[in-house]
Amino acid sequence: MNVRRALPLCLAGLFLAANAAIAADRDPCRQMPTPQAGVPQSRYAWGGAVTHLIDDNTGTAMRLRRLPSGALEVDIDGDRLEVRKTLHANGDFDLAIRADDDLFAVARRGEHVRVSRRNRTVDLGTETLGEADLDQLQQLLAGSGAVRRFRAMRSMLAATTRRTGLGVAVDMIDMLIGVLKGEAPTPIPATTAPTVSAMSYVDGEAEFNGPSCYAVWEAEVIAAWNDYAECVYSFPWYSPLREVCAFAWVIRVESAWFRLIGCSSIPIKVEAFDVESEDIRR
Amino acid sequence: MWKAKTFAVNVLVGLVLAGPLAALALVALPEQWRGPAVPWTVVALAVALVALVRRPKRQSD
Repeated sequence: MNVRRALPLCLAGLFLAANAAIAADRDPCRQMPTPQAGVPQSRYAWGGAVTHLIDDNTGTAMRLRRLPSGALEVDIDGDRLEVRKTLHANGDFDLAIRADDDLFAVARRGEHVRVSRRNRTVDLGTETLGEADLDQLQQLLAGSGAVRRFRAMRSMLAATTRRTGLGVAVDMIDMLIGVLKGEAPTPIPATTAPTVSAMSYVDGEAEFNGPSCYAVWEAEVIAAWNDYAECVYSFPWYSPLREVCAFAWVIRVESAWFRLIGCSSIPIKVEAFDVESEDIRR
Repeated sequence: MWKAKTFAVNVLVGLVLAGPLAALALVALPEQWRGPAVPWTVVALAVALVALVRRPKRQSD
């Protein structure tokens, strides 16, 4: 067997040894936050599916990420404004808007909604909501600097931001505030409806229209790594079954890799050429 | 013809190697460095590495 033929085997062995060595030095839970009581944990945790965005007009930094529990978390950091909304998989949500010393928080758990601001709390039942509750809410929200600053930020967002998933999340928060303040709901204008181009899909920016090729690959790779670490730690260090874990990991990431390549290929689309509208020199 | 075949083999082997390498790079990199550029950078590095390793050796006198 000459050196050239032995090279692939050497590289494969190097892979197995290297990733086993790396895994041995890592905490298997590093990729996943500590599980919280009462929150179901999915087996395939998304450790890194994150979308970042900085608005051109306001400079507001926005981040959307999927938590291992399946919840979606939106973080907005603007000019003296912090917003965090966590939408859990079962429909419950937590929303906190802070501007300077004004903190406005809303939490929904099943049929109950809790709204709090400045040491005052209003508990509502969504099925028993009455006029008195709405009056209490309006008193609670009156003069809220956090809400005012959030709405000002929303009104100044660039159109390109409004068309993203994060822009829609901002619209949804605004609609929730409107409902709490007793305003008539305003539909999202069609001009800011999310749109997506083929290239943004290829570039991995199309979070709002389904996960992009890259996001799917990243999620699968993180999940494979978490499962691999779990597998490795389930055997003692001297067990050769650890190599089986490494082999399964290699197969899984290769599978995800070729799916990424297939998914990311540039779509070839032949458009009908409009000859009539072209200025053809004769 | 031979060069085209060599190039194609280098690219194919590089692509196969790039899968686990990109996966390792993804879990090793800090979260803020992750992005679509990571796997394609790894592909380029893997193909370059394969080309380097498989380059024809000069005949010694």
